Parts: sequence; C-alpha cells; structure tokens
Amino acid sequence: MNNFFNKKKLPSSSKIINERDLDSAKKRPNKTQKVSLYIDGERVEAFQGMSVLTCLFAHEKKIISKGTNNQITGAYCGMGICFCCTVFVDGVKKRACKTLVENGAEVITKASRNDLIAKSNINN
Amino acid sequence: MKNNKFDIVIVGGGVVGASVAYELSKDSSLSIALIDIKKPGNATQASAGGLWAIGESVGLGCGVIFFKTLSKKRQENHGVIGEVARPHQLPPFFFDFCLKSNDMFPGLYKELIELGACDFKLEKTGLKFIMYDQDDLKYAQGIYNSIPHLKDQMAWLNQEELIIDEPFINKKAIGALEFLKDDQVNPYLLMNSFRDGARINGAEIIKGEVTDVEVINGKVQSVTVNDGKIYCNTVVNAAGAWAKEIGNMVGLSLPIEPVKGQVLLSEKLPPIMRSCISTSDCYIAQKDNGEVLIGSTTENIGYETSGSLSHLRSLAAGAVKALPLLRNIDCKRTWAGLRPGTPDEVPILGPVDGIEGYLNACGHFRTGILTSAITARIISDLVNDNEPIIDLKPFLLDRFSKKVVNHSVEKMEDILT
Amino acid sequence: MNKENTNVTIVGAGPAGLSAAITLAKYGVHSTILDDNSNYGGAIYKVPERGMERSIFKDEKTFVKARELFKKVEHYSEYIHFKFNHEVLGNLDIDNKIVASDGVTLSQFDNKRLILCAGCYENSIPFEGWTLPGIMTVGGIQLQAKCGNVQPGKNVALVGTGPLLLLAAKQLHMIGVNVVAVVEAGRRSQLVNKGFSLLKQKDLLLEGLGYIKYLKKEKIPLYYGYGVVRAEGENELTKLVIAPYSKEWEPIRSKAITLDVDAAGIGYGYVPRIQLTQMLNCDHEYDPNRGGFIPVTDEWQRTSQKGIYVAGDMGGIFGSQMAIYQGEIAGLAYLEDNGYLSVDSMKKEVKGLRKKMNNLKRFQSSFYKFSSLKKGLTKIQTPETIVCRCENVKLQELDKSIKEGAKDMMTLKMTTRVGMGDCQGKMCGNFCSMYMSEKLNCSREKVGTLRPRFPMAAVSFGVIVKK
Repeated sequence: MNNFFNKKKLPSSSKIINERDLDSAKKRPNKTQKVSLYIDGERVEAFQGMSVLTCLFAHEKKIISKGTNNQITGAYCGMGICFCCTVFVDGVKKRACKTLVENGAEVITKASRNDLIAKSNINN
Repeated sequence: MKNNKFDIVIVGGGVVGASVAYELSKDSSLSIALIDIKKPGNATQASAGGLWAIGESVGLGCGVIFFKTLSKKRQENHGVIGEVARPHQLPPFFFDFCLKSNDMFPGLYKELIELGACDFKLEKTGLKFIMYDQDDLKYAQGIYNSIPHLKDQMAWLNQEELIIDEPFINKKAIGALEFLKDDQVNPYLLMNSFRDGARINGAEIIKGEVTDVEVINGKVQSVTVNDGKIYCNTVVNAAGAWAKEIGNMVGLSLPIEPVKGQVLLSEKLPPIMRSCISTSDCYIAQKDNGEVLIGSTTENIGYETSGSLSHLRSLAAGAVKALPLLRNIDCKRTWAGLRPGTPDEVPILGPVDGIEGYLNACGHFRTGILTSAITARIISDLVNDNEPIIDLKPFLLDRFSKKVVNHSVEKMEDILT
Repeated sequence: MNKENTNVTIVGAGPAGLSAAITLAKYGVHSTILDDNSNYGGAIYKVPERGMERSIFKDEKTFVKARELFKKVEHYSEYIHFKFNHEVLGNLDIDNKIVASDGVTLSQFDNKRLILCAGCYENSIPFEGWTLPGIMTVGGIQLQAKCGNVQPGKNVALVGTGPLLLLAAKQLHMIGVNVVAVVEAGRRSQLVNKGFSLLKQKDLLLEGLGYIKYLKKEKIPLYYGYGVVRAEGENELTKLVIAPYSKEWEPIRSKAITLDVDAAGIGYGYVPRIQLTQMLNCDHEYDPNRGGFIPVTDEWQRTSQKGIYVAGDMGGIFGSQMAIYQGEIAGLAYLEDNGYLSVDSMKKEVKGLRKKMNNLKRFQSSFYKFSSLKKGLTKIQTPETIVCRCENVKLQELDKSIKEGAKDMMTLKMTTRVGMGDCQGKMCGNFCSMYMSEKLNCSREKVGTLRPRFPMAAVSFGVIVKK
C-alpha cells in the first residue's frame, strides 16, 4: 500500500534504515512549558513554541505595527511575507508571526524606527 | 509611435539622455524623441545621486574604495604591507566641468518644479570624508593642498566637531574633511524630472531597443527602433554602458566599457546623517525618503549585474564601521549598476569627424548624475551652433587617437599587482 | 558515499519539499531542506504551536495527511537534513550560490542542484479600508485558529473565492469564533454544472461537501456570487461591506450588505512564489489558471535551468496533494539526471502517479470557471485606495503613472514606488500587473513582473557582515 516504505530499490552502498519512533526523534521545544515576556512593558504569559503574533492575538492586540510611513498596521498575511506585523523584540525589528516567544523578551508594538532611534542610547 | 520623423533622436533614457532631451525640448521648434529600454544595470538607478563635484574629481566615493580594495588584494597576493594606494585626481578641466554642472542644479530645480515636473529632491548636504587614522589624514591633507583655489569650499572637522555634526558616527573617527557644496539629489527622480520636463515641452518618449543607425554619405539618416525606422537629422548617443554598441552602428569604436558597481539600501530611517559620507571603505548617503544607500564596488566583468556576497559584506562592514547603529538596521535591497567607463574617466562628448548628425553624450563613468546638467547644455550649444560653454577638446572622441592617458581599471590593476 | 557530493538543496519544507526529500532518501541521497519556519509542514501542514496531538484539529483530514507524510520524513531522518529558521534571501549568480539567513549570519548553498518548493502566497485585491487592523488574508486568519489556537476576532467574515474559505470558517467556528458570513465570489450555478466531472476525486469532493454541511449545521450563512466592496472602522475594522458580484465580478453596490465584524479574512486566489526562480534566470510563462507567472517545467519538474527543479504551488497552484506528487517526480528526475536511476525505472515508478495527477488536474480544472479571477476585481477600488501597503501608494498614483506612459511593471515601480517596500511587491505586485494590463488593454506578459532583488526579505546589516 505504502510504496514509500518499499526499500528494495536502495542502492547497495546505502545503509538499512531502522524505523524510528516519531516522537523521540523530535528535538523541539517543550510546548507545555510556560514563559513570561513583556508586551509594551506589560508582563504576559505564553507557551513555549508560540509565535509572538499568536501571543499578541491572545491578548487581543490587533494594532501591531507602525509602518515605515508611520501608518498603523495589523497582521495581514500571517506567514512572514507582508511585513505588516513587525515589532521590536529586544530592540531588534522582527516579524511577530515568524518570531517565537522567549522568556523575558521585551516586545514593543506600534513603534517605528523614528521612536526607537530617538530613544536609543547612541553607543559605539 | 505617432511620428517617424524627428529633428533629434536621443538614444538612451537614463539621466544623461533625459537631461539632453529636456534641455533641447526648450526650443519648441525642434521635434525630439527619447528612446529608452529597461535593461538590468541601468546606472542611473544604481547611483547614489551625489552631486560630489570636488569629491568625485579628487577620487572620493567609488575611487578611494576601489584603490583600497586593490591594495588589500596586493597585500594578500604578495604579502607586501605597503601604504594604501589612493586614487589619482582628475585634471583641472574636469574639476571645472563638474563645478559648473553642480552650479546649474539650483536653477534647474526651480525651473523644472515651475514647469510641473516631479521634484528631484535637491538637498544641501555636503560630503564628508571620514578619517580613522593618520593614513586617512595624510590622504585628506594631500587633497586639500592640491586644490588651493577651492579652499573656501572645504572645511576641516576635528573629532569633537565631527561628533556634534554627525552624532551617529563611529566615535573612533579622528575627524573629517568636508566638501561644503557637494550635495545630493534623488537620482531616479532627477531622471524622471528631466523626462517630465521633456514630455511637458512636447518631446516624445519611445520605449524600444535601437538596433541600427543608418549613415549615408557620412550623414545620419535614421534610427531603427522596434523594427521601424525613425528618420532624424541628429542622433545623440546617450546609451550609457551600452554606448559602444550604438557607436558600432555608425562605425565608431568607442572606448566605453561597463564598470559594475554594487549598492545596498537600508529600510527607511529618520535622519541619521547630516551630510553624505565617504570613507575609504564605502560611501553612504541618506536619501530624501530616509533610505540609506551604501556603495559601491568597481568591477570590470562585463554586463554581469548579479550581486556577490564578498563585495556586499565588505561594503556593509564599511558602513557599520562608519555608523555603528546600522548593525541592527535592515538592508532592504541590493543591486548593481553598470557605469559607462572610459580609459581616462572623462566623458566622451560632442561631434565626430566624418559623421554629420552624430553627437556623443556618453562615457560619464561615475559622474553621470552630476554632469548630466552640463552635458545637456553642451549638446544644446552644439545643436544650435553656439560656442559650447566649456572647451570641448579634452572631451572629444579623437583625444584617444592622439595621446592616451590610460588610467583604466585594468591598467591600474596591472600597475598595482 | 560522500555526503557533501550528493547533497541536494531543497527550498521549502512543505509537502512538495518533504516529498522530494523522501524520494531522494529512498535512493540513499542526502538532502538539505531550508525553511524559514521553525518546523516542517509549510503553510498547509503547519504543526500547531502547542503540538499536533494537543490540537482540537488533530483528527482533521489535513493533519491526518500531514502526519502520514511526517512519519515518512522521520523514517528517513538520517538522509534529510533540516535547516529551520533559514530564510532564503536570493541567488547570487556570480558566486553560484543561493544565500539564506538564520537571523545571525548568512550561509550559502550551491545553486546548481536545487529542488525549489517555495509554495505560494495569497493574492491580495486592494479595496477601500483593506489596510485596517483586523483584515487579514484567509490563510493568515486560518493559521491563527489552526496553529495558534487563538481567536483573531469575535465576529469574523471570510470573503473571497476557493475552498479555503470553507475550511477556515469551520476551524474558526470550532475554536469559538462567531463566523458572521462566508462570502464566495463564484456562482453556485457554475459549481453545480460541473458536478459530474468532480466525481473523479470523491475524496476531495466529499471533503468540500463536508465543510458546507458543517456550515449549514451551524447556521453559518454562505453567500455565493458576492464579494467585498469596502471595509470601515476608525483604527480597527468594525464593518465590512459586501455586495453581489456581476458575472465579471463587478460589485452591484446598490444591493450592498454591511456586516458587523471585528476581523475578516479576504483571499482571492494564490500567487506562486517565483522570486527565486526569477533570480535563478529560469524561464517563466503566464497561466491564469495556475496563479499567474510560473516557471516553465517539463513533465519531470525540470526548469529551463539545468539542475534546478520546481515542485508544488511555486510551479503553479494545484494544492498540497499535487505538491506531494510533484515533489516525488522532481526527486526522481534528479535521481535520473544524476545516474541513480535509469530512465526506464523512473518511468515505471511514476506510472500510477501520473494517473492520479491527471485525475487531480481534471478535478481542479472543473473549478476554473467558478473560481478564476474576473476583471471586476480591478474595479472595486477608488482613486484613494491604497494599493501598496508598504509604501502607501494609492490607486490614483498608478493611474497617473500609466497616463504618463508607464507600460510595464518596472516603470510603474520606479515612478510610484510600488514594490519598493519590505515585501518587495509580493502583496501588491500581482494586482498592479492585473490592473495595468486591464488599463492598457494588453497582455500580462507585456506588462511583466517586478524584478526581485537580493535580499528577498529584509535582513540586518549586522547579519550580512557577520561571517
């Protein structure tokens, strides 16, 4: 039925592959573990493995970003293409939908470069 | 095409061609066609838009970067640690050519805006050469001392003054030499503005590729575009890096080769620089819309316009060194333009013996944006049988058949390696 | 076997990429898969953020299929090397490399042995108010429900065309969202006529009917032949106006209906993500039924560039099942081209596959008439409508540029700045070329596409510099 597991065509040089347990092979974050982070200074909890965007939605924050022309934007494509959900995570510009939450992270929404550069400590 | 007969056909719709079209279109008795095709590597669109009259003439901008790269290569190849090679300065007539062109921009700006053309964002910025060490200082002093007659256009900034003027600059920079009148425009808006002006004045802009220029009995007859003939009295070759091909069509061999320059562009930022900046690693210009443009390499590899990581890295590193805050700023795009390089780095302008109705307006190498204004004036003078506003002799094609002062990129590489 | 020498780079860990990797692994060929997500699955098989087994959707058809595929991946894990969080930034031809960023530094991969499975993104049609927070693509809003398990809004409408509307509605409803309406631009009459030819793909047909049944049971209104007109709201979406669409999908504004919603998913088809094949100088062709410009391939998924293969929606929209088939074919073609497999055995391998693919193609082509985008979509905007979200370019600026002689996308970009923002025109490019070809009454080929630039996604100078 399942021809993917039909191993007879393997070239002789290749090893015989042992079927492995699906879950044990995963080296991914433990998704039940909780982390806490800050959204615009407010402490919130989230699950490890969650995207910053999901975390924002969970806290009913829809106005997420300030575009390069200072226009207000919300998340739009939700999959990393449109750049409408850019936030600053620990001072670095990131797409909320592509960034996973991290313990202690400081997320700033609705900020533009103007605000941040004005605030930034000009330091070499 | 409404028409297949024009007084003047300009081949090449970059900044030079557009400028020429605009200048000529002021005479409403002339019918003008500007022929343009989009090709990867259009130099106008990869330009920083610097009006660096003195800066470019003394070799700052791409020149100084190129020579530092060459010295580094030499060190790597031969293990010789010597003084960093520095670019030569261009001859006095070229300074004059650049300065005169620079002076035309405020007038052009006013004139084009009044006409209803788009705003090309002329900004008074100045150009600072940033010095990190004694080598840089010595080099800057050399420049300063070599042009005593332009002292009033230059200013020295010590470390403190530099930091006050440019708060985001690397705190380790020891100072700067500023060229006070070396300003900037938005290069493709300049091109669009010239085009707008020309269009408003009645010139026709035709999209298409020129495949032939017909010459009979030493006189230009027509230009073939999109398989159709356009008859004309005069053809102006403003085809930039492709000018050689147009030259071939009338039996000329123009010594113009594409010289690739890669640039990087940042996201939009609030003002982080007062002036344009040149270091020996890169030049940096923040444009009217807040984007920061970083350039540029000098590569002699034909019409190839793909990026290369080593070059992009070294330009980015130079920019991050000069303005450390750029480290966390996004690079939005990179691309490359093809400069029309000539052996002596001087444009090729004006008529050619034996071909009536043909004018060169090409070979502008690194200074096409800056000298587009004066080039148009010269072509207009020639078309109207007026005495050109500068002595044309050092710009004519026939200078190469006499005495060749060859500073070409390849030659320089030979000398240094 | 020398691992370095056999390493194929696959871009995209969705169904096509995974399927190609599995096929290669069956023959002992190692592959490296680059993907900008932190896990495999792509958009359609994306694993819920808190794990698949904890999701309320774990028994949904998509997840059942995904699990099946993932199991094979795990089985061959020795041969399949994932590089997650690696976003491909483009091709640097002179270096013979494609470049990816992991957010810290750039890494380079040979550009002569590539299987590209970059997928697609949703086609955006601008309308008045579409930039209001609360409005997302259908896929974007569905991902929030399916993978994030959060409610993107309390009252949600789903508007556009295609089966994803139905699936998204069901999933949103399952997590407790009030789905106000599902609004499909296609006409029911065109769907019913094709009923007979649909029977060939019972599975997919039943899947679709299942969604419709669910909506009926839950009393979620489903409008056929309606579409979006405009959105309203102060700072966030509060109202969405829909209206019946004419045959050409022009809204009949006099019969407009206003929906009270705080979120909406809008999706009018998909656009193949061809930026990378463009940068790799592959030949492209225009096929309106498959999402627009697509790389030209032979029947073995080979592009015009030697050593570069394309599979899945990146090569034309056919959905996830076709992506799996095409991934396998691309893998086999690679194996044949590199001497792991004879032409005869390759052909034998795909015999059954071809039949399935043809059936699937026939099934999908029966929807073309129902779902293909009509001219009316370029008429729902006003002059003030923002077209390019990144650069805030309005429709009237496009009109001005076209009036002044712009005839191709490159000129439009230079004169209006469309496509010069962070997304490099992925959101507005398709609409702009559609609009331009309508206005100039010329073909889409003539209008052309935007030229993608390195880096295809913004990356910090620090990352570029870091070696």
